[in-house]
Amino acid sequence: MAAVAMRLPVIRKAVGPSGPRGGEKHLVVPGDTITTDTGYMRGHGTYVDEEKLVASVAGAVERVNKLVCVTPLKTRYNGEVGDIVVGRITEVQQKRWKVETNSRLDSVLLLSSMNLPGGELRRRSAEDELAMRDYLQEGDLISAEVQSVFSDGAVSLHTRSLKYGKLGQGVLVQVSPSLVKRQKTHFHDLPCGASVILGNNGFIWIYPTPEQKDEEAGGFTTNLEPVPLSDREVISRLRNCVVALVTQKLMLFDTSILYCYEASLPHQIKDILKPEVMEEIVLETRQKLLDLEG
Amino acid sequence: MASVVLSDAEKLYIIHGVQEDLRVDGRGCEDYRCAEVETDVVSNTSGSARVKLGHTDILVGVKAEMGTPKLEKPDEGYLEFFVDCSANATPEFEGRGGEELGTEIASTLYRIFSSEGSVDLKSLCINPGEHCWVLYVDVLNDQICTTAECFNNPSHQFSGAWQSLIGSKVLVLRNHTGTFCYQLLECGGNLFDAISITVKAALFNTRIPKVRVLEDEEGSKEIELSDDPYDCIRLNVEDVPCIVTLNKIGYRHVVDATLQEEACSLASLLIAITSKGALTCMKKIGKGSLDPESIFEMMETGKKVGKSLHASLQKVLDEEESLGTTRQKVGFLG
Amino acid sequence: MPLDHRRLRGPDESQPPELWAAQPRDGGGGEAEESGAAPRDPCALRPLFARAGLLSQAEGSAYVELSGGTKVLCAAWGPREAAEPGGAVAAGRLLCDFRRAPFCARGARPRPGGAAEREAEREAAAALREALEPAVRLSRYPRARLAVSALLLQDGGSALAAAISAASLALADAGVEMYDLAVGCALCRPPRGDGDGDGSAAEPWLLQPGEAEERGSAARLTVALLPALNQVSAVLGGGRGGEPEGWGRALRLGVEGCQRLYPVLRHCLLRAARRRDGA
Repeated sequence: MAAVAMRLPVIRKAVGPSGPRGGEKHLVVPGDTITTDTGYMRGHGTYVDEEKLVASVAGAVERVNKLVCVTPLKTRYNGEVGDIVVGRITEVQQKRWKVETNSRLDSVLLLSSMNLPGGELRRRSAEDELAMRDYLQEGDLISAEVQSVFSDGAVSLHTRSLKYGKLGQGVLVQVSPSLVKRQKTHFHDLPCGASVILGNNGFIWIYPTPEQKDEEAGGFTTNLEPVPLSDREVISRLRNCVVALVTQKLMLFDTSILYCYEASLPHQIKDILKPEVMEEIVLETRQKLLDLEG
Repeated sequence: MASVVLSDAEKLYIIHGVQEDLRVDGRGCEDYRCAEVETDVVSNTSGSARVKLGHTDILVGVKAEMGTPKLEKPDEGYLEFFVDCSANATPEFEGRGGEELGTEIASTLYRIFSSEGSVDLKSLCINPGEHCWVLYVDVLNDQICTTAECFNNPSHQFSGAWQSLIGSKVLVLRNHTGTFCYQLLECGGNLFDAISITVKAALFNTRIPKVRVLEDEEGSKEIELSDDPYDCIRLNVEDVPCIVTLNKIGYRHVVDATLQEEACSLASLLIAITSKGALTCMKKIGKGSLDPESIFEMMETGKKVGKSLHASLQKVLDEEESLGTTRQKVGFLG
Repeated sequence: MPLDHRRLRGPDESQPPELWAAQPRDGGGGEAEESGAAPRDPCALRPLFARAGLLSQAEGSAYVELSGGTKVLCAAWGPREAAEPGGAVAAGRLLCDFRRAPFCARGARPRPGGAAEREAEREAAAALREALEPAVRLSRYPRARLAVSALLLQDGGSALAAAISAASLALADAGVEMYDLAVGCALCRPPRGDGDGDGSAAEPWLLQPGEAEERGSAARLTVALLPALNQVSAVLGGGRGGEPEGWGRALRLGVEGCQRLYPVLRHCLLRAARRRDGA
């Protein structure tokens, strides 16, 4: 049966940030003077004007000893070595792929910094170079780790571990990178029956939990079998939960997603995206998280 | 249309999902996303409406001006459409920039409204052959922000920063359209349907002042505009059709496709359905072709969905009207 | 020497004489026309004349004429290197152009380049592209562009349908790889009575309407079919055609019409090939 729901818009208050409590942040807009004390050092997001330290972005002031920075709360992804990212191939070039990772500049994945099928320590031959598009082509999604950051901010990636590589069937949700909580692991096999990769760059990949970890494939064979309906339901529900959390600006990590998933269970999957349902389940999630903190 | 690039596996996932009647966001094949409708959102117009369908966000303003009737139809007024899609005029989208998309949508709207009876054009005539009302319908697409557009538009990011920073506090800075994009990939999709819904809502909201033509003894005519702001003509929008776009994905078809789903569909059928279920326009769009049998099925689905679309739209419009001024306008703050 | 065309155009407000002549007789004339059209078999196709490969300068060309006055000339060029490469693996692009000669239609001469005229041409060009794209194997021409241009010399009704047929002939004549020919067929539904047409009576859709029938019609539809694959590549229609069921019947009728036109086009291509073989 066709369902068409229409409504009048309602002014909604944000449930509120879930970030660390403890005092208001010092918020500034571009042009605000942060300090006139000349003893401070100029960090990111600030500039010096007539011996005053002035903010150049809107955001929260952070001080580390004498260094003053302003971190914009919404920003593009700034790569850091060791970050887990999910990215999309945009271009195949000589010995490298260009990868869109939501950072200021396209990231690169060098042919030499990935595992090729048939063993980790294989030499890269000319044939490999010709067959690059067979491994990864435009539009393909990969998970990778940040290997290094160039001086201009561009990021170089590597997939030299079996947990990284080409992503198969699943759903991508793009969120603001600042909403992804940094954790020890960003790969989670959730007990509800699906897995997520929480890329530090704000790309969230939700996919069916693989039956067995195939070791030798190196992440290049994608399973093209249809995903069973039960898995699909879980994935769609998770996706909508992530969207709900992000809309209400709650940090994303395995527990928050799981709690939100549990809170959403009384509702139909498609109803999760209704504003009032979204609000309700996110409030419930927040309460649970607060209880957890104690 | 602005397109997103998907990997083969992602497309496969979407196609299998449609096959099983469970789409990525949990909807069935014939479900629309939740839509928000509000009329009278811009004050300098005769009528306006704003519709948010998922993250497709459309603003329509109608301005009534006086003009001369067209030669072929001296006793009718007419409608003019202008669609601005410049927001996604990025060259990388297969040369189909925003302008081209805009004219395509506008020509579809002309096609729909040129059909007799969708709007009573005779009621727009003031005196035959000389004066008539011309309704300028301007469609603004607030947010078909493709990924690239969001990236290139610092104002989006800036206002977004403030929203997350200050939350519900007093100061909320927004860019000119008042929208921003959090889930970059969530945006867009199903432009035609959203636009037609908004146009209908805006026409429902349109109030044209009454004018009288006074003729003095020498035969020269004078036009007098009514002073009373409540003395106005309203349009009968009962027969104004809505567009239902049916995207063929795999062996099935879906309504209200997201941008990702549109990327998986080779061909779609666009049909305009009136509230009574009559079909007034149909058009195949997209690179692919369709099986005749599937076209028949799509028309049936379109009729069914179109009828419920009209019903819910009319319900919302009536509800808003009955609330009158007691309801606080959300406008762009919602 | 470049001329300033703006200075040379006619008076701003010229009107065709038919506008004044037709009006007094409108009622009577219209009825006479209708009664004249009544005996017409709705399923009858107008005789179609097609010839491929008649222009020497174009790589492929075709001329299609429907008896009753629709004359379309089509030329195809390509493949050529695309001006703006759309990525390394992008499939070829099909560029379509549809021009109406200023004198093609009855009544007022449209101002060439006028807004309304341009709009109509652009819509027809888009429809042409949509109809042809599924027929052409564009994936075989990466990074290339193919161009088709149709010139409507005289509009005697069913012009877009004729242009689709002509354009696919021209493409085939140019040696472009295609899955199938695209055959176009138009229909119209004359206004019968004032009712919305619930379609209870025998569906009065007419195949391949003439100009007069088209002008007075309540609804129109153009269908393009890939006959060998049995796939519909274009559907473009509008008007008061009633419920989807009625449109469905029209579509079926149109598909049938396309299938009946197909042998004529096929034969025309074979003849052109034979002629070329002989030359």
